[in-house]
Amino acid sequence: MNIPQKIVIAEDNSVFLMLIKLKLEQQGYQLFIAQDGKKALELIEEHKPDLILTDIMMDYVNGLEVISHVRNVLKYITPIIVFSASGQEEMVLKAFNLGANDFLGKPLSPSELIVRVKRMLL
Amino acid sequence: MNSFSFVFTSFSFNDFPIIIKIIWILAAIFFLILLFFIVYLKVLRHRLRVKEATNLELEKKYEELIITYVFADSGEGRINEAQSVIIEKIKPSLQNTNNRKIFIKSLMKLMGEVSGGTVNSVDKLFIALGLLKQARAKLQHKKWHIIAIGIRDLRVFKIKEVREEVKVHINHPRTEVRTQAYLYFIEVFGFEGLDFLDDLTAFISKWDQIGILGALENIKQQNMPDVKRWLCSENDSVVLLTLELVKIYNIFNTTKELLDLIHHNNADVRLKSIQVLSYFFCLEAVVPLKEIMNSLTEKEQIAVLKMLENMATEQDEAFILSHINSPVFDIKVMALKILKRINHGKFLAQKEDNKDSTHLKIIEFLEKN
Amino acid sequence: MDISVVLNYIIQVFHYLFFAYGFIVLTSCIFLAILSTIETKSYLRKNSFVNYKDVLSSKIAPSISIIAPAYNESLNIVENVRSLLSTHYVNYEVIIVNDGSKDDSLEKLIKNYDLEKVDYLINQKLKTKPIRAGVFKSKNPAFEKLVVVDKENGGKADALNVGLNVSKNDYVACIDVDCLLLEDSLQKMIKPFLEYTDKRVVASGGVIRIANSCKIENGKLLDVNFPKNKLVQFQILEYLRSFLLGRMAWSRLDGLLVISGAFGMFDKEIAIEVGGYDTATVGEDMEIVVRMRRYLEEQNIKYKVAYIPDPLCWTEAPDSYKILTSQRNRWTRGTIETLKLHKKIGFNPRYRILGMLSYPYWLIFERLAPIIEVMGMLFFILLISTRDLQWLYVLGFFTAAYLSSVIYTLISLLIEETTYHQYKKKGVGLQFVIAAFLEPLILHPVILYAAIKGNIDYYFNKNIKWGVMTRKGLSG
Repeated sequence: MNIPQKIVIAEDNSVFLMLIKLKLEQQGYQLFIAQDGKKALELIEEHKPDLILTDIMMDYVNGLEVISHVRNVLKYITPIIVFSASGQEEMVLKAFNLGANDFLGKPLSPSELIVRVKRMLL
Repeated sequence: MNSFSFVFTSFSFNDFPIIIKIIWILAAIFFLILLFFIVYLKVLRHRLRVKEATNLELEKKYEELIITYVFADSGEGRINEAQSVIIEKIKPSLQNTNNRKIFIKSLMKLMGEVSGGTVNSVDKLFIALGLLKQARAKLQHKKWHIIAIGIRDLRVFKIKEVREEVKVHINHPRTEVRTQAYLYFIEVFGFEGLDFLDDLTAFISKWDQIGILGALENIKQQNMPDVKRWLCSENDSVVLLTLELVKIYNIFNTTKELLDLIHHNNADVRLKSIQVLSYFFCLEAVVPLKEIMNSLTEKEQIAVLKMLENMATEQDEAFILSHINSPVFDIKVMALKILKRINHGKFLAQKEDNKDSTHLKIIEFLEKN
Repeated sequence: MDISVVLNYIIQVFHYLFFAYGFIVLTSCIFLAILSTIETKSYLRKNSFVNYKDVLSSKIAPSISIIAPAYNESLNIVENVRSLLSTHYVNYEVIIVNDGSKDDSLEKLIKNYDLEKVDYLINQKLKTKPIRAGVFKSKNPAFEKLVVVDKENGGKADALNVGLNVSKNDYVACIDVDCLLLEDSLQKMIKPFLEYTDKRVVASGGVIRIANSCKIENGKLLDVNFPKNKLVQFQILEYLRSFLLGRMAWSRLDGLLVISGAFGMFDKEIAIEVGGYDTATVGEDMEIVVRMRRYLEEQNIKYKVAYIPDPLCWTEAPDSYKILTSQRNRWTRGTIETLKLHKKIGFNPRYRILGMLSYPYWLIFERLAPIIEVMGMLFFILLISTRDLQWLYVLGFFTAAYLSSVIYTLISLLIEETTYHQYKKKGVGLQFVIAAFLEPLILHPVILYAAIKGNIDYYFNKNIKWGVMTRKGLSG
């Protein structure tokens, strides 16, 4: 296998974050994790990942701001998948308008996440 | 506070020597209390700081263990050896109440975010650690908040077999316990869990309504039970909740019951039924509502007019005209708005009929918008 | 009869009166401390189960209007509005009422939020000063929750009334525009309105915390610091005492008379039914609560005024003695006016706890306290000049009184630590204690001076200007 593909995840729930990190690493991806949007943006600029996963609701810089920064300021076309809880439909719409590529509703199944990630990185 | 002011009660009276003694004894006591409080404050702040740090560390440790456990799951539906090792590692530390609290918190943190196989795996962990037994025992406790914690844990970890034990508590005098019980039924049994409404005598608050509907929103399988019997419930709050269900899940076959409910003796129920009928665009409702219009409350009348906003026809003109001079602002606005749609000529003529400034202001506004 | 016997007799009567007063103050402090502890415990226990998430996005969650009057706030208005727009609640709008500002507040808002004038049908339920430039909304959907109303100057109460007229929602949160609201404040404040099924909750009051020296970025509170300025430190203690001890205890008794003008939520229907805010008083925030309660008692409606002790609203406290005294002067006049306006309820059993406990307490221990204190001082001087004082006695009283007031402060600090523990940094504990010892010696005389000045202004200086718009809403 050549250089592993890089993924940045922004998610404020530490347990969930750790779980998906392990699951994705198992699939051979290289993971960079952030617990808030601000840190995520730093990681994104530093590592130029192949995929970004972000929660919508986060302290400091939230998911929407992350997307908007990536698309409008950094001008990256990196695919972005957002996580959202139920009742945040409005936010999801905004996320798509800002340039998100896919979304996953929480609670989510880790295996489904893997499938979506793989499909996105084909 | 102005305890300061009683200082000035201090004045010389040679005939009050005993008072001097009392005062100084009091001062000494105060001083000791103060010293105690200062030391206590110091200790408390220190302890809080230490506790916060250790708890954070503990939380991290537990989170790691939980993740390793979940990750080790082979998907065969039973606990494997690697997992058993982790369970044995966690188990002894849970004797301590604080540790247990933090552990359950970490588990719950994960439960809120994941679905599918992971949930089953976490459930097994919960049971293997003996936490199920403990949560179950809490249901019999005397103190309400212990019961509430028990139900909460059983709810989060979706334990099905305690259904009857939880059901006992749906009419508990403390609303916090009831809330947990309602949510247990929804989160564990989905729409079928709504059955608890049959035996509910307690009043569901608006806050609980929001909670219940929120929980239902998370249920993916929508097999709505027959709600008609709850629309006829003796418990008005059950009727109100059901009306929300009828609206959100578009249960159209309830029109007959809804039409009966507009004669209900609870004003909130009537109002909600009118709103649902209006939402359903129910033409049969127009005639009966017009008949009882004058016996309705202001809010209900506004709701009726809101309904007619879309449904009124030329035949309703007389009815609408009877409301355009209502002293209630919102009724007046609605009536004029409807008039504008069904008979524009008459609407414009209103400008001449009534020179009242509010009246003209509304017409002017409606002409533009 | 000898004149000196009479004099002696009078002095003795006074002596006993002052003594009794002091005794009642002390016992009521003890009671308040106990009640507050009980209430705090029960509040925290109740709330440990609450899930505030659902109400955020629920379709049936009630809609709320935040009403924030602004007068010459050009300096910070844009930032303040941004903070108000960033709460997590979904179903709300922010109504900024520009109360005839002479500065460029409106222009700044229009420019920064892309506002345009809209047609807006206002139901004039409350009589107010007319609209000036009109009602504005943003063209940018990101600010769809913002409504700006520009009206002619009429004072804070009048601006709030315009907000009440403009709002189309069932609940209104009246706040000072420069307040920083935490993101979860609306769902916490709205909860009491939704959870009681046997009575109507008509208002809920929030806690005001002091934001001086705290780290704030983009309208978010990032770090809580204990300020260096002693005057602000003293006010922090004062606020903790008032909000965590006093109001918590009164909430337990269901006898709350004040909801802070800086952050309170109301049932709009009742607020309008009683006639909205009174534009003739400088204490409109206290007055409206008393009027609402009075009305509901008279209508025999089962109601409740709720209180939320969580630290949700943060604001800058005055850091100069001049502004502080003018603020307290105004609070004093507000209290006098409110009590006078509603003297009918005082000692009237018909108004239950409101008439028999809240009103008398407010009258005797808030309204009259400064006067009694000054009278005590004069009496003391009289005694010094006419007879020998037993210094041991005087000193004993001073010490006991001083220590008891410090104890009271310390109790509130202990409650703060066991509940919200906002000042986590090392070393703050010591500063707390030092400030607690200094406060009765430094801040108290200033407050006393301001209160006396307020009394004088009220009785002899009727036409005094209302002073700069500074925050108020804390007394007792």
